Amino acid sequence: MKLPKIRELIEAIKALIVGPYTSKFPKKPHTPYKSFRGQPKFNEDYCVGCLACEQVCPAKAIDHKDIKNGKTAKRIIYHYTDTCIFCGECEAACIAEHKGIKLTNEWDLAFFDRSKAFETIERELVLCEICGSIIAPKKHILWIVEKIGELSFSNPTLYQTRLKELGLADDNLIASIKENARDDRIKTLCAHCRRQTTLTTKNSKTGG
Amino acid sequence: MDILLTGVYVVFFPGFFTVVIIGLLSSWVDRKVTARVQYRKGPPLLQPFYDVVKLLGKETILPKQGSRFMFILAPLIGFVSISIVAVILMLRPLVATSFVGDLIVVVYLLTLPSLALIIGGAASGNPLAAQGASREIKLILAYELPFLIAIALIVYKAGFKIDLQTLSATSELGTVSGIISFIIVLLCVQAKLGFVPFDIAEAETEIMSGPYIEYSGPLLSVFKITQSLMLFTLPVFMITVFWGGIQFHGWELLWFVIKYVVILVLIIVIKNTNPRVRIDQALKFFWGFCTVLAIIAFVLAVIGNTYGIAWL
Amino acid sequence: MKKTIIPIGPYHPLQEEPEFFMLTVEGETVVDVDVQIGYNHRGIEKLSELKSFDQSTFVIERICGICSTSHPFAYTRAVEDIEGVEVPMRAKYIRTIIAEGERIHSHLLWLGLAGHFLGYNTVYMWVWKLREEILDVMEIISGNRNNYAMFKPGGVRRDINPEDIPLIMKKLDKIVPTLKMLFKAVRDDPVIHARTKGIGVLTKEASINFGALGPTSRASGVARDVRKDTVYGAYHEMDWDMIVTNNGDVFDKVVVRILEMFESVKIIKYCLLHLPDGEIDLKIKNIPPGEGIGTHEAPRGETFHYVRSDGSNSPVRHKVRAPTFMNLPTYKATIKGEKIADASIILAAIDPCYCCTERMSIRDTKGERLFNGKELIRLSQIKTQTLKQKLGVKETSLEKLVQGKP
Repeated sequence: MKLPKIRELIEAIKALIVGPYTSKFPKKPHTPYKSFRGQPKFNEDYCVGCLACEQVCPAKAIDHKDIKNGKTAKRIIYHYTDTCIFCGECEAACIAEHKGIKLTNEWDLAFFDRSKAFETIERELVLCEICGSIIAPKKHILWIVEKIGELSFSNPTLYQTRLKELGLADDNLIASIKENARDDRIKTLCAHCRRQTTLTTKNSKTGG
Repeated sequence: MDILLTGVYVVFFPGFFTVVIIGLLSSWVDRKVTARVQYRKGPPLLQPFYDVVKLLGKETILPKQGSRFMFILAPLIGFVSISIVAVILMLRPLVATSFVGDLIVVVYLLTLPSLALIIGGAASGNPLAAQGASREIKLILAYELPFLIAIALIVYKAGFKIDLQTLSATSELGTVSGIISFIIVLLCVQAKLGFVPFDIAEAETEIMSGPYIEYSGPLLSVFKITQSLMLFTLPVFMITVFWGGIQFHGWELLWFVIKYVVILVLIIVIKNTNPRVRIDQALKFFWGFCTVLAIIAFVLAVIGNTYGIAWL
Repeated sequence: MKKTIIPIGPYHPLQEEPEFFMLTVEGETVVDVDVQIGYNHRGIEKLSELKSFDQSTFVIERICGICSTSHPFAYTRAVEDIEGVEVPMRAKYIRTIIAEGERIHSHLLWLGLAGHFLGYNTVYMWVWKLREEILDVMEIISGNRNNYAMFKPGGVRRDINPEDIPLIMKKLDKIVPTLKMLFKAVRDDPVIHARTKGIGVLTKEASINFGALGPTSRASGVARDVRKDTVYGAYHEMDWDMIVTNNGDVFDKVVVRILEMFESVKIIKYCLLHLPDGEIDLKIKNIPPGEGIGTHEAPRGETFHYVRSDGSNSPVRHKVRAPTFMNLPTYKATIKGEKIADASIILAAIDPCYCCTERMSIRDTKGERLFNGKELIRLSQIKTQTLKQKLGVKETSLEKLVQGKP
């Protein structure tokens, strides 16, 4: 049936009665749906500092910096909140049960100073005992140990870090091992130095 | 003292200032109701005032091409003419006098804002403004014919009296011809106000506000005030001529406010339930449909008068 | 009669994006139009070549804010075409749901804008309010109102939670009555008829000649729809109608789009009710060398993607053709002889999306175009020749034939 303008009028009157659709935002906080993809946040308990998220990030919003300070070093992972596109790839790629970096429901992200638009997380790094270069974050090594179980005893870097973490191996114990001829094999080593020590029969200390 | 009192009447109450304030408030009502119909919240009460004040504080940019003198003069012409109409209409019930032929003065002055728009648009030297101005000319030609026939009908019914005092004494809405001419004038008023479906001259999505395109700052605010004054003046004119006029005492005042709001709401409803028509369609509508209807109403009125049928 | 030039653009309240249309006008009648593009080139194709296959989807998604599913859909189909794999059934269903949801929101957005261009702001606001519902559905499924980040070569990134399905159904049911009201209002309104019927007619022949796509062609009686013509997604699993009308004017384009929304609601509901179990992702490890094409029926028409891989991690060549690229030239056929007041609605009727379709154009400081089609072909031939000489490829017999050599 042709009813020109009648439906519009009914809808208009309905609109007047129902009232505005506008949400009362500042007074009534907005809660997004559970699946909402908001600001990704690092989780201090789970993140192992492996940089898988940096690898997959399509917007290059995740970056890191390794800072070496004498015998200790730390890795700072940055998440730039202004370049982030909230795609959730970091969460999907996270090796720590997808919990190391997780999308939150946070959406109210306006800020004034762009130079401060980042979040960080710090991870302690393990250094090579010979050349002093960076091997991996301590938590990452521990994560590998946990994954591979007793197989980790084939690799001194892994089990030493693990034992140190458990408090079973202190410096005294390690010093006593060092008396042996091939003590360089039982050290926390970077990949390069491990290759060196495996291929050559050199003792790093004596040079023979 | 008489001159002083007249001055107060003209400038303060019920003249210029009162009318401007009521006009801006009416434009707020328009915006608010429009917003609510569209499920929006709408502006706060004082928003039209804020707009005017903001525009007054802005820079006026004059176009390089085109006539600067006319460009500045145009908004003032429209503003002054519509202010005079408003004062005439509002002063009449207060001092209870009018002069012979003030109806014709009012009808003439009501066309001036549109002419001012044409002059301003043409003076700005912008092709889109010129387009808008030419559309406005066509629109005036279109709606003035049925508008004047409808007014002439009322004059005929009042026994060829052309002063507002006589016309305002009677309500014409009791007769068929009166209702028809009221509807026609309502549609013409819609076109005079430049509201949808007849906002052809300033179609934002077609010619970017047309004649207004080069206007900025105080000059634009003068145009805006003119528009909101028209939003008040035209319904008041309709009430005066068609609907028993205005009285400023007791319940009559409330009755006037109700009449005004009814006409305002009708205008807003038409505005919000229609798309914009094209200029040729508007021309066809006014010259065809409306004019024919107005002539029919006139014939009905003549028949009613000759044979003494009251309801015609 | 004196001819005046009325510019639409580069910046115009009618357009959300910069594009330049020069209308030559006699009085109120448009006699000619010159379309100039190139104001918004973003180099998406090159950007895509710099990312890995997986990351590219996020760049592709941002070609268009409205078709943020269509482009990834076509792209992932192109990548899967290289490998020659079939996506799991559940992933197909989820893809279809997302694509159809996007069609609803895009058509609603267009309907609102069409109302706005006609000066009918009430419809504009009502429709955009209605659009909130479908955007909510998209947020429930994908976690965002737009840029869904659902597609990946080999499947989808997120699964639909079965607990959300009743809520999604409720929201879809909310859309239908209002949509019906709007459809009937448009069908009956004499003023809308006056503004849209017989305006900007694209005849069937012109539609075929210009290669118009999507609703623009279907309104002219050309029954082509990638969803029906090829087998992909879950479209062939259910019954739905292709909406075809015959007049080709603005009114028919409105009707086609509104009726398509009902079909989309139908498709989404079917998919949600018959969602198969199983994997949602093939977990593609590497993409072999080769080339593939992918198409998808975007809200505006067929989106076409061509991807070439050399076996490495990222595409070597990625070519995008958005539907507006084919639809925009029809403006030349539809606008001539119409009133200038109708210019905006006729242009809007093809639902133009300039950013997606943008091509680079080189101009000198006076605005003259430096390279036309012929010259570009010549440049491309020279490039091929030098490449061949470098690689030492001999002339093929076909080329000899073309060049007229024995």
